[in-house]
Amino acid sequence: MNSTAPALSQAAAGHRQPRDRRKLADNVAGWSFAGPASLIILGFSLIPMVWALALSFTDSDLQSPGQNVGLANYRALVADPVFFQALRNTGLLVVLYIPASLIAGLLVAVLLNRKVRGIGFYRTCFLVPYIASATSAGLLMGYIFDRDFGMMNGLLVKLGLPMQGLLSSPSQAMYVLTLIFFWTRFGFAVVIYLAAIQEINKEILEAASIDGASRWTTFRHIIVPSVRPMTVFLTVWGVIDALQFFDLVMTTTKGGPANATVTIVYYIWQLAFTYFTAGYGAAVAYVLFVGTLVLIVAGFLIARRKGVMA
Amino acid sequence: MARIVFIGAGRAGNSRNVLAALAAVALIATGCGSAAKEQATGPVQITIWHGQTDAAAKSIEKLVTQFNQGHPEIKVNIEPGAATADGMLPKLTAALTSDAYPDIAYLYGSWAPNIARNPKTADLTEYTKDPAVGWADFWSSERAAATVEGKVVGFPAVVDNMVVLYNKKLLAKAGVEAPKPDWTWDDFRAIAKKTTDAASGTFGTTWAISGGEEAVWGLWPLIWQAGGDVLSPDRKKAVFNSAAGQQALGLLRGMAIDDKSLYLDSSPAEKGQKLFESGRLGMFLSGPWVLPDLQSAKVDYGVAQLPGTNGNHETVSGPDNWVVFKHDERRVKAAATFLTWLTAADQQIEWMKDTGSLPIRESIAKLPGYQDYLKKYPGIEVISANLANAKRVRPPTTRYPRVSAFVAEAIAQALLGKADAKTALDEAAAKADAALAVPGS
Repeated sequence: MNSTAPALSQAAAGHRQPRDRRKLADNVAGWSFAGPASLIILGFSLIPMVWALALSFTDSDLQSPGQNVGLANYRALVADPVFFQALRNTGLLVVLYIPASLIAGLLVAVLLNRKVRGIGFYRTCFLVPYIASATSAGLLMGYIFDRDFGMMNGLLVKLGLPMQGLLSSPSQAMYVLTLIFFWTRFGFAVVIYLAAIQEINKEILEAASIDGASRWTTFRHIIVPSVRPMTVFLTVWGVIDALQFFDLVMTTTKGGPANATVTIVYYIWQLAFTYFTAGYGAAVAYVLFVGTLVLIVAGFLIARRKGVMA
Repeated sequence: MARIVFIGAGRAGNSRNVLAALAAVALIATGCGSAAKEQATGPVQITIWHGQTDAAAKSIEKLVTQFNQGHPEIKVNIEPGAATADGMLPKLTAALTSDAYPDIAYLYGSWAPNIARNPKTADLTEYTKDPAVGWADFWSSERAAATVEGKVVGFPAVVDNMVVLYNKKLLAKAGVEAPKPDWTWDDFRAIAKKTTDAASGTFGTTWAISGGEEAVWGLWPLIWQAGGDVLSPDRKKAVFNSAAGQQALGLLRGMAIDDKSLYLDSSPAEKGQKLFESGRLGMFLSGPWVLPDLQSAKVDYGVAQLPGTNGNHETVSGPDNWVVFKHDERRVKAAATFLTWLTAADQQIEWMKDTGSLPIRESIAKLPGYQDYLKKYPGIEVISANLANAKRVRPPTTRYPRVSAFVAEAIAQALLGKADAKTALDEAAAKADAALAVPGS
């Protein structure tokens, strides 16, 4: 906005208007456009961020004004086994979810990019889990993956396979939650990839088929490179989404059994609102924030070096 | 995307613009605040967050309307505050931080020690000395839960206790007699084992293994009965891993692992109650709040006090409070007046008939309406009489939620067979000791 000011003020001088008043008018007009959004960012993001940082150096319980404890919260964190369990659980989610959503998202998008009867219906089907609320998805999946009464174990028994612990098993619960998370979110990757595939120049695809390229060659050498910017975007988006995983934990397991499904954000919520240690919770939140920032910046640097992003 | 963020940060360096934006935020903030200003004339306006659902929400709304009609000098505004009582704490904490808090809120008794630390929480000690309140008429466990270090922070709202509900048909089908009042842990285990039928998907009873308090609070009465306790009297040490604790958790572990008569509920969605309603659980440990649901599900249920050991049938009680928050002295006084009216026996009998809640006052049982109430909720007389077995409450310390989470983990470990009762409890006690040793609050 400021960069356009010299040009506009020159024009103003041509009309012999007082330069300052015109500049003021520009400022008012500019801020009336940018103001509401700036206020929202300032009020709901920047101020809470600064406040949370201040909170992380106190022993506040959000009820009484806390004492300043310096770095004690951060030191406690290094020795907190639940924090590391939450890190492992969340890390597992990211490592499994990102490749799965990218591969499945692209394959499904390719399948949906055809002219068949009722394609709109099929496309909608893949997006419905994404728009369903986490509460209903969580309750529904909680019943499906129940150890003793769930449909999943019923199916396994019909197939002659042994029953599994699923959500009742500390070693399986996080994998089950990852699967549920995948089911609710990967529709987004499908939509983004589908849009990108439809943007690919038809002439290139025609040329490829005239040159006798197989379907696999077309996929590997035209589609995959063409959608690479979307892959970078979906990776970054997916990492943020997975690192902030909370709602399904709340509605399916509450972090149990035996902390097997505690994620970082769920742990932050517990610390602040169940254990009344909001200062400590803010410290964990800040570690998550800095970690996310480092991951994303690193991701963009790698992508830029590889020439994916301009 | 990252680039946009960095450019934005660079522009923010233009200090005059930032100041303008900050000023605008400040204006908006004060604009919001002025709505809550004290009103000088007219009736005193107070707001109550009730956190109730369904029948209970309707009942409290009805009572508030009655109060407003009879008291022109006070106007009570009623709001749910949160979708459920569980969600009240985060909502209230946010409201207290932003000065948009109600005068009265429905809060679990276990939150009282933490809430009492908030400078905005009112001290009602003086008001409760008014003979019109009849403070001594409330059960002693309720008075204990509403009092933190000598300071009364609220009025008793609801009291409950844990009983065993059983499905008469399922027990008869399994050929076992209904629990007698003097039944023991062994009887409990035997009935559960006999009603379990893997082929038809029927379990003797259920236990929660999610990470929440629902997994933990049923263990305390068993430990108390066996002569143990949760924390040491000075609340500095965990003692739940005593022989009594091992015996209690050992009973449950034996039922889960050896008998396979426990359905382990990993969900926070009260699946156990749904299973009991659909006739898949022989017994269900719960409280009076499920009776209306059981009636609408048409379950032929019976009620028994908890199985005992050495003749001790102690249960756990979870009193909830109407906690009062300070705006100004006029409003605190109005809140006390309203709560005195609301918790009086005449209003309580209405509330009890609507919701199936237990009497919060000893004198309520003498009211003529009490017999109608007993008739309306079959089995409620057992739960009401069981209040005499509610001798202790969970430790009133700000650290209790953390301690409870460690015990929840131990219960899950033991019932899933990942550890024996002693190992699991010892580990939880070590963690709890560390949490209790941290200075402050």
